Amino acid sequence: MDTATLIKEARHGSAAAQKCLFEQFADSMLLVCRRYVRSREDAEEIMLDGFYKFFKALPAFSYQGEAALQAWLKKIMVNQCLMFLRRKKVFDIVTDTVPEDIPLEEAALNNLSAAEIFDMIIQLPVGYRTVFNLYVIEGMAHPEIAQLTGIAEGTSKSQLSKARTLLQKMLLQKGLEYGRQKTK
Amino acid sequence: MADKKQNNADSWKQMLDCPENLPGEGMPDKNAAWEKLYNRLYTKPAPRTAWYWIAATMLTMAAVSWLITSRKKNDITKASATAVHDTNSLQPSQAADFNKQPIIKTVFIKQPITHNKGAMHKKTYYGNAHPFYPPQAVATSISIVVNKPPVSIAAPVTGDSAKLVLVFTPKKKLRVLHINELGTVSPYDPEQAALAAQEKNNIKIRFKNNASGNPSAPVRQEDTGIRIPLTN
Repeated sequence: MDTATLIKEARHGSAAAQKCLFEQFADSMLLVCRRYVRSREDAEEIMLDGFYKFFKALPAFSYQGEAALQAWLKKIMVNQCLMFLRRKKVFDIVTDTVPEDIPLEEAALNNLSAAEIFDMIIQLPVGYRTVFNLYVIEGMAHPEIAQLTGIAEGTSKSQLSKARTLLQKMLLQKGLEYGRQKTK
Repeated sequence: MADKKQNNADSWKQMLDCPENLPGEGMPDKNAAWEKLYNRLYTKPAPRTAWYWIAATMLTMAAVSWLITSRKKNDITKASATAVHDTNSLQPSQAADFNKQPIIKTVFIKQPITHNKGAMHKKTYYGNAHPFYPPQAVATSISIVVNKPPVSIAAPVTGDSAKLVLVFTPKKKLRVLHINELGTVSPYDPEQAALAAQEKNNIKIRFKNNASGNPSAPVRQEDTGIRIPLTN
């Protein structure tokens, strides 16, 4: 059964269609949540909350292709993650001191695998990680990030800068380890 | 440069969004997760009857207490209105017999409210507007001076005898004050009665000025009023 039919059935309250949609998108949505929330249990709970909202809002949704559906689902999940983080008041302790801007060698990141990039991102502190995800992965601008997270625009910029610096350090460490492994 | 950055971001996005690139990060047990979600979607929340009962009880209690307090308030207002009516309803024809007996009238008056705590409030009533002005008694001056506690009242009455019972009704608590209890009642005097009847329609009141209203101010010679400081 294709996604359009599943959406149609799920809109009419078919639990079987809803289950199919859940199984189809659960893995990718869990990954989205894991990028924002380090704890796996919390990420799963957030994902279930997101799917609950998705199914409740489905009658008002007009299907325009699978990419649009996935984007909408992803937006719901990101919002759920930000709500969770705001509830935990993680952004209250975020400072806005701008450190020295060290350009991130993105070419070096290209040599890394997805799993390595994912590990590095989830190792970042929560403020850095959130801003990095929103800016680099989701492609949002700083004013939008500031509005979503409730922090100042300058703080968003400083968090991104710090995240880049930290990632750079991680990359250097990984490069050293990679070099050592090669010489062996 | 910007394009290059955008390309990198897109490639990360694609890499990180694809579950196949991260095999260890998928859902371990989708069925269990679906069961959880299904329960949330289709199980009705337990009715909160206990909360409804608590809310209903509180509302009832509030309504009952409001009714009781409003009823008490109405009783006090009614009593005050009746007393004032009694005093004012005396006709000149009744005044002749009035001197035969001591004036024992219970008048409910409202205690003047002191808005400014520190300030001394003086409230002077004019003519028949004052509820405790007895019709047959020729009062030369009536003034109430309230300086929080104590309250002083000067009410000189020219009648041979007059017994005035004042019942002050503060906001909640009633205080009974007996003033000017001269004791004996004079025998019937027709001249006095005629004078009282005449004065009923033409009441002359001389009001004191601020200085004389002040309890600490010296009393003028012709003022034969009795000053009784009332303390709480």
